[in-house]
Amino acid sequence: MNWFAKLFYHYRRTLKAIRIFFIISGPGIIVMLADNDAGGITTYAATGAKYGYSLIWFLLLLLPIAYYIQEMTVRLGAVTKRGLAEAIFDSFGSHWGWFALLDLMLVNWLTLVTEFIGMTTALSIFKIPPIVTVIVVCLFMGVMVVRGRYWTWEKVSLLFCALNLIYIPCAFLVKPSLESVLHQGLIPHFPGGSFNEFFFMLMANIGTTIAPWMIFFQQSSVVDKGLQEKDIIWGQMDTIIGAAFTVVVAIFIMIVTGTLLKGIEINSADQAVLLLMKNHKYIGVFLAIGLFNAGLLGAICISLASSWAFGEVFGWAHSLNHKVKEAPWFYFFYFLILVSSASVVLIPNAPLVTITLFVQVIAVTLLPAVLVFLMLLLNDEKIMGQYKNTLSQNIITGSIAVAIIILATLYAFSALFPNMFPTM
Amino acid sequence: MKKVPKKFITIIFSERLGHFINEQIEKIERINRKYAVPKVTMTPTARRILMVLRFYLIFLVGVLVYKFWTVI
Repeated sequence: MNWFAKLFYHYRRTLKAIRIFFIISGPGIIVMLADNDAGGITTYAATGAKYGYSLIWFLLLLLPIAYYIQEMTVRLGAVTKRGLAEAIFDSFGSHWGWFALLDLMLVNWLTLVTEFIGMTTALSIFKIPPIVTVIVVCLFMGVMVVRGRYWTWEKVSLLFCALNLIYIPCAFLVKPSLESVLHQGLIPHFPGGSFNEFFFMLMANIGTTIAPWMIFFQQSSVVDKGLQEKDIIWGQMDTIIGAAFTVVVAIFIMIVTGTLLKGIEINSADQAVLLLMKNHKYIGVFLAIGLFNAGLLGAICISLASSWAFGEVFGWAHSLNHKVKEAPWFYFFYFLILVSSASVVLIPNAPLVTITLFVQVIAVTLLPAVLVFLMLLLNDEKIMGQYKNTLSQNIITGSIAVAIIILATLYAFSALFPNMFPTM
Repeated sequence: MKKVPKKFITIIFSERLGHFINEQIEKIERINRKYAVPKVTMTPTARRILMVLRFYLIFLVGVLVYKFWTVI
């Protein structure tokens, strides 16, 4: 009887834990899967096509990198109950605050343009004109925030996150050799070819894993959701599950293009989709749907990250739980960035390739600063109390931050000056 | 109904716009006053890191300006 009572107790406890997790989870999974945005999908598809399965081991390394950086935002948000923009203003003064806020706005706006490029490109494969895509997406994103509350918004976003897993059945459809995937993918090795191109690809993959908007978004999302100190453990679980999903999705994209397009130079996602359609009709269609979904998910998060940040600093009501009448500036700003970035895609002969390149370069001016602010805030006992970084956390996150700063800077330089690094 | 002359509409619009701009400038000044003193504990390490960050950003902005100058 005693063991039965114990078993029942553990069963009830586990059930309760699962229920709490489902209530608290959301920001981590959404931000991580939204990280596989239109630009991310293109990068993974291009990496798979160029190097086959050879860089799967590298994607696995990105899991702890994404987790350790994003986990800090969960603690900071739950303890201070403030978004990162407000925390930077308050802790580092208005000069650093304005720099971070305006840079974030610029980077987010440019990234939003690239999401719309991805969405219109994906649907143009189904002969849907860009103007229709832009109008429908803007209307949908408007209704999503105006009609609901934070909870509704989060559940709808999680639905799109689930659609992001479309690449998993795709990989099974192409029937890759499991032995090759394990043998080539899990043993770190230099796959040959130009070392510069290889290094550029590694840097592009890191660049898509950690973006400034993700850090701002998750912290604001944690605050809007109302996470408390006692919920930090669940927020951390939410983040690690999200990080695992994002890496799994990236690996499966790499397996698809690594199996069907190995050795082909891919420059854009629509090129990958068209090539895949020639090989396997359904996989091309799935990839196009996935690309649209990735762009939409990215756009949903990025536009909110900007409005939240501005709302925090300007003192506007800035919660999705507020109605339009209660938070007019928050929603006005949301629609302003949404509509203005969407319209760029519709301008004939707009320099869309330059904009895409620009995003990576401008992001480099913000990412190091945000990582430094985050580390300093997490080390301040006055702010964080018992939740401040431990020595081991500092060693891990410090090393990750330094590596990201160096690689992101090199990436920006190689994008600005393509002939700077001699071919090896 | 009497038609309102265009001149009045322009005056009202420019007055409202001026009022709006002044309001925003005041708001920015209020934010600057509110966050004038940094509240983070400024340890020597924190001070050094922020100094390095400042130089890094100045260098990066310099490179970007150079690039655009040469492109244009």
